[in-house]
Amino acid sequence: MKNLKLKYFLPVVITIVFVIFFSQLLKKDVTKLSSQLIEKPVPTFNMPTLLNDNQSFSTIDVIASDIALVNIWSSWCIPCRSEHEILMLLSKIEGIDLYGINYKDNEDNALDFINKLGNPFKKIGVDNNGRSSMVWGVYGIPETFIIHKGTVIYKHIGPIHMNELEEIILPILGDIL
Amino acid sequence: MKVKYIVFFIIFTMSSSTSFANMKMTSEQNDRAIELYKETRCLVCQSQTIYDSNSELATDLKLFIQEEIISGKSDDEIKTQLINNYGEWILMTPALSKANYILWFGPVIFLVFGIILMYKYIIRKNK
Repeated sequence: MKNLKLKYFLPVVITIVFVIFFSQLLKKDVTKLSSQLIEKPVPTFNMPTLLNDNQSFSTIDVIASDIALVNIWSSWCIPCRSEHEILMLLSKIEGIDLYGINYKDNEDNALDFINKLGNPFKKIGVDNNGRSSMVWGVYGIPETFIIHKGTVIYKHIGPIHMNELEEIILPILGDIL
Repeated sequence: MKVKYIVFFIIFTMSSSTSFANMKMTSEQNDRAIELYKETRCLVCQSQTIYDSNSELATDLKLFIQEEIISGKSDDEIKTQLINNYGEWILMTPALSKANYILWFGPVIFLVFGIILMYKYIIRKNK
């Protein structure tokens, strides 16, 4: 009798275990890819700059800053526009250098964007065809990376909203400032 | 007759955007590129490969693969580069690693387990 019970209950138990296991997996939002770069050194890149002629924006710049924020943006990207004021706020914090990568943009439009909305960046690299940004694993802008002493510690996909600034970005910066 | 030529011209110009990029590759390199496209996930469409997708990212990734092939990189080197930039998820077939042993061997273990159970059951029934 005891054996019979087990025989009937085992499949039920196994099914329950599976349901719990897979429902946990489903909870994870795979569309928000965590970056491969987290806890890795800044990728190697080099690109011309938007504002300072004959200069370049490269890995060296980012490493030179104790805390760097690299934001990938474009003038045609609507969410970048709404995010821009957050970046302007961040640029006011002392001890943090903001860098921009202008992604697949037109130079005039990019300049227009910066002139109108303000320039929070210490340097803006230009990536016309999206190739140089590939080392950053970019797949949809805006994307923002926080780099501490040359190591990528956080990646934010999509625009930074005010609540995300308060709940995610500032606590991270607070820990390392 | 004229219409035929016009139609041909339109189709030719429409398809030329992709064939231009392929021009520099030999047919063998092109075959390799296509195999890699089919292995690479389009990260913005996710359930599609970049071979099936015309999204901007897919186009960029295809160009990247073409350039790497032309510059003489092996398939494995290109895959490693893609993983370094985008993570394991970019490959349609996950590589065998400790983290996904259960994914690769789970079904086999279940099958063996099932066969053993079935074997025992049949033996018992025959007795």
